Amino acid sequence: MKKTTLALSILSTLIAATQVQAVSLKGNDISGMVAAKAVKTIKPAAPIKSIKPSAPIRKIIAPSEGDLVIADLPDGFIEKKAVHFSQKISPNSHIALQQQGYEAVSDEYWFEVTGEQLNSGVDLAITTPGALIRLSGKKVKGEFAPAAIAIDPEQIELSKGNNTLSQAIEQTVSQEALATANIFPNSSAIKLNKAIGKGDFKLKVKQKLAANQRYIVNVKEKGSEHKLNLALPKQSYIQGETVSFDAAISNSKGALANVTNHAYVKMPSGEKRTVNFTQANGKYQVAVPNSLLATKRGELYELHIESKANDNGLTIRRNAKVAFAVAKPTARIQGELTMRSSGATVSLEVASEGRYEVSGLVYGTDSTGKQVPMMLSRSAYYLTPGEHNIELRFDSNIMKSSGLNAPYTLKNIRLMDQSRMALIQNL
Amino acid sequence: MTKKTALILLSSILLTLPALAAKGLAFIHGTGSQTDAYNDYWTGSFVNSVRAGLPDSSKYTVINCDFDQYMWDSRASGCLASQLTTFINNNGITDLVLLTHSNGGNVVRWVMSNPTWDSRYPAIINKVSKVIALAPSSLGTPLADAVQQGNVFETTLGWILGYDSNAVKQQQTSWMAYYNQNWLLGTSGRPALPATFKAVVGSDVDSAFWDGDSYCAGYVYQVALETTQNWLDSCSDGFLNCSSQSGAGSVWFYDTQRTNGREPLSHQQSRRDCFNLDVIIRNDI
Repeated sequence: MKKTTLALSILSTLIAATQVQAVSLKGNDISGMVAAKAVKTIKPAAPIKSIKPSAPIRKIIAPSEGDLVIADLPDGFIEKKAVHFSQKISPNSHIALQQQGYEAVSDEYWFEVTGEQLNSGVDLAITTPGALIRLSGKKVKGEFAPAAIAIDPEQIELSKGNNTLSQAIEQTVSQEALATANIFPNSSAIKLNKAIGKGDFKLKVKQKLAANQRYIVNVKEKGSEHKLNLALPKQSYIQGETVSFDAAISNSKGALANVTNHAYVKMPSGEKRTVNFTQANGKYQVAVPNSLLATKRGELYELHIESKANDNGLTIRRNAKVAFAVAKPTARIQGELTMRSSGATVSLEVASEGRYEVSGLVYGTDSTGKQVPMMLSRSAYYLTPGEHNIELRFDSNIMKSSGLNAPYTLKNIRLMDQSRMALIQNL
Repeated sequence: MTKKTALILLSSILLTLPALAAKGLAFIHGTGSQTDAYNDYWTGSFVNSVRAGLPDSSKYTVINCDFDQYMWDSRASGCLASQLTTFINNNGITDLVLLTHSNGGNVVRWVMSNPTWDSRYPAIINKVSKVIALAPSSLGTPLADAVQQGNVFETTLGWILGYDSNAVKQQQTSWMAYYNQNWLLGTSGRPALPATFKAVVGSDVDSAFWDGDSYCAGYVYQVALETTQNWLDSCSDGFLNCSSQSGAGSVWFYDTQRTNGREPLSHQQSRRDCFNLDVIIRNDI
């Protein structure tokens, strides 16, 4: 049998870890940053000798020195064994190599009130005839009996100015009926009669409610022309990085002027922290506060915006939120990255004990000379603080069966802290 | 031909035949903590009808785990890995078909997307030939966002909650967008899953007291559905938008393309023997 040899390429890259801000750690495609050069028949699994790339050495962006933090291990299962896995990737795959943003579009708002306030009457701003209003009782300290705190929708009345409206409600939905949908166990709702139109109203509950019982009033205006758009350019951040965002209320003709925004960040622990935001280059920016409370791994932060505007005398209120993650830099890729047919040697500086996965997409060259993906490889290890050279293992069978040739490149290299469920680097 | 030659030929033939595949099927429930999913989540009539499509209908398992937890929690994906590993080892399974409903699709995607998370995962992934995902909540649901409104932690009072489930928190739309982009495979712009993941999409809800079909798998008040529909697209199963159900892997079929009477499958009906769904799946495994 003819021995198959793989033509290999190298990715011999110096990773400059000096004086680079963590804020720059985002979706950079390493393929354009490293030198790749075909090497003549080298035995599979044989390490490439130190050959300097002919193309200029580029920098891989990494946190600067001193950025790494020591963090405790969270509770829960953490695998200790090294695990390697490669899977075939179709050459026709369309894989986004950079972090993607997220945009929330809201046609609703919500606010918290007490039973006492509902008995006295609360203000509502309605922009669309036929809005839905959901009233949801909240559990506090384990006291939770949906039926006991439910609001009877037949006991709700609406007024405009000094006039109580007799035909304001088109449909009522009791807590018992709404609970059959298996998602709102403690809510009742009313659908407003379209005939009452839009504008400012007052909602009052005649049923006697516990004065301190908390409720959420949620006004949902499906189909409203007034929407709040809240967009984040990405959802993964490194601790200390500023979060920028876009927020605007618009009607069918475009964005409204004179919008007032109130922002807060809901921490993974559930704490609500009001944040100040600045405006620069047309974008809002907030500094994410630090939390002192323990969190479960994998839980996210949320940026909440409560906006208010006026459109020709019509009060517009909208809430929106977008989730994002903030990773602690517990380790980093550094030094030289060397690729062989069997895998890539990756140098890691680890500050916090834990389980780390390095992954990468291996691209090969097709008959037209185009670089196409062929394999996703990952290797994970449980590591103690210090410097480690770890192997990102490849599957030579997948490489051979791909029909692709050298030069091979490694793209979308990711360092994940699995023990804290954090994306630390995406190169 | 001598006996010896015949034996050599026979052994050559046997050696060239692939080992007989032992096909197994696992029923994987959605959000909720199950201890008897066979009766409480799927019902025996659905399970027994579907498993009849196996070469050996005894090679099936019904998973019971705590899917009120986040998909990465050991009580969710760890429990799933444990039960699947036991099933594979006890039955010599070489070809595993996973049948998931709702958030069960996300837990399975967690396992298949994170092979290095748990040393048991690669052996499971390598056995999976396909995942049939019934109404998977791949992109989450706006209803999960709505039910979380006002949920906060206050140092003096603790949690102020309307709905207390980590799995529901996880299925908020922007949360799932983050997990899909960073921790899960199979959605747009991400590498594909290592095995086929094909979805059955529920596109509408029939709920009318004069329509007997509405009662398959129980009845939801029409006014409740009209209310939840305020957060959903016109194409939804009453809990998930079609865009979420079709957001990972590929679409096998939209309900009305294949069901008896072109009936839509509500979110409850897509885990029961309604409108011939059980037979369609049985014939595919």
